[in-house]
Amino acid sequence: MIQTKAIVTKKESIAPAWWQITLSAPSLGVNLQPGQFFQVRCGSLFNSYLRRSIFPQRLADDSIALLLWPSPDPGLAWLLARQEGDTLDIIGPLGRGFPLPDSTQNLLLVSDVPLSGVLLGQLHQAIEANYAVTLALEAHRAAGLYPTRHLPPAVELQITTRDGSHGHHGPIAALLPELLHWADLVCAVGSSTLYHTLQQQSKTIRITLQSGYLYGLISPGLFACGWGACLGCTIETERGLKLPCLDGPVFDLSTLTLEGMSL
Amino acid sequence: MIELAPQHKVGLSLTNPIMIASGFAGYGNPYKSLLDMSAFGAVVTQSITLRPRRGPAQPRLVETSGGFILNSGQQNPGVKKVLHGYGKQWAKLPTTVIAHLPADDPADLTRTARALFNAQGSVLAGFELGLPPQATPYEVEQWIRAIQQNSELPVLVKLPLNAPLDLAEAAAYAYADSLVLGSPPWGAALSPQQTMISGPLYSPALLSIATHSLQQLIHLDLPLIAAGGIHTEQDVNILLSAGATAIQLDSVLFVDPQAAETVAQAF
Repeated sequence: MIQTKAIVTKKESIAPAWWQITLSAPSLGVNLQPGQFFQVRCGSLFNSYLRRSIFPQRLADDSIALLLWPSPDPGLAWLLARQEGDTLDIIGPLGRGFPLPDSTQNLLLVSDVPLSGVLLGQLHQAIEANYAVTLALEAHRAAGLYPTRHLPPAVELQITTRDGSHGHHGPIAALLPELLHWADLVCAVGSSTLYHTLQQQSKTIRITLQSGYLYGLISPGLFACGWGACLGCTIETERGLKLPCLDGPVFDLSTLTLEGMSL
Repeated sequence: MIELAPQHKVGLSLTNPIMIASGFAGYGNPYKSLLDMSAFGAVVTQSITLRPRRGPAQPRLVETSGGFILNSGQQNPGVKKVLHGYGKQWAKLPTTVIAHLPADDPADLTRTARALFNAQGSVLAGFELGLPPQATPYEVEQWIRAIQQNSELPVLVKLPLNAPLDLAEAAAYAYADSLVLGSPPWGAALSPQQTMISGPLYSPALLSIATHSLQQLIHLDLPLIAAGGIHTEQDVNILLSAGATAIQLDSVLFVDPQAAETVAQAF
């Protein structure tokens, strides 16, 4: 964990309403695992006081990439307005990321929220390691989907939209049984509804939900600190109280009770 | 060298007047490679109570204009687990450690303070009693005496930031060793999930309240420790010139840890 000034070295529009920002600073990408995060200063003392969490993808030892889209949050809007040459005050990497054990053969990545660098990082690592990778994405409409032409051709895509404008029509839950049967590791980023569905369907398909199979990213959206000092993000698990910023944000979903949890 | 307990037989000397407030450094050093803890005169731990407290359900945090409301509800694993998990780490910290005890049943407070004081190899230098916003002068005296009953360490009393004078006078009457001004006021705001969250409000705007409270209590013959909204060396100088003996940094540790260390290194 370091606090440093990172420079915006590149900002590009990769699709309508999707931007990718590249940040560079010495050691910024060293040891960064998919699912780990950085806390970024995104304003002044009286505007967006707390740092915002970003979940980047590692590009090199000294650079990381962020995916951004328009947000009602003033801090993230400030971040999206940065230009090449601007500097950001950044702390990280923080927390624990997704595992990628050597025993993995079939990796399923699932998301029902705009795709962040989290799953992209995991996807690229898995492709480099020659794992079979399926990426299952859900969006309300086609315009909300990550521009999939940027994905490696080795990835199998399964896409659903709620309005039927792209891919399958309806929620992603309908596609999951077959995919869960195929996968030996599942990494998800999304809503508590998605995690609950994954838990239930995994139990049905695999008889029991064993540890080491299904992982999800649990983030409260805003951390007061990000390193275990404030206790603001505490959640209840079957193994006691845990801090997403320190014990997570990636959790084995076999240990979590999601009822009443708002993500 | 500054002295926070000049009337106490053991005393509480700090090499630097800049402390870290309770709730901003866990039970030791969550900042790891981020901060040089030796730059700070002392660190006050998270709340420690006799029995574990789970704290409220999520959401606990909401950002406001120029600050945030955070209610962790004195979450802590209880004194036994705190000692087991962190007691040895305190001895390795390159700064003074003070235990924060939230106001509680007096008998429980006595047992908590005794357990901490008597712990093998304990390096604790003192206790900080945290008062609730609705504390009465009578309760303040009871809580202080409960801590003093079985411990020989100095007791700092953290008053509500806009403390009525009678609470401070009650603390002085019960031989508190110094006063901390103070615990932030409570606020309430809607979270993005449209849940109303109530809790302590942290903001740079609290600096002026801390300065005002300091002026109200400056006539008391006790060291005063200022806390609330302090972000810069200039803020510290304002409070020291207004009569503060020491300073507790709080939310600046979350917003800009390096700035907090820079402030400490300036003194």
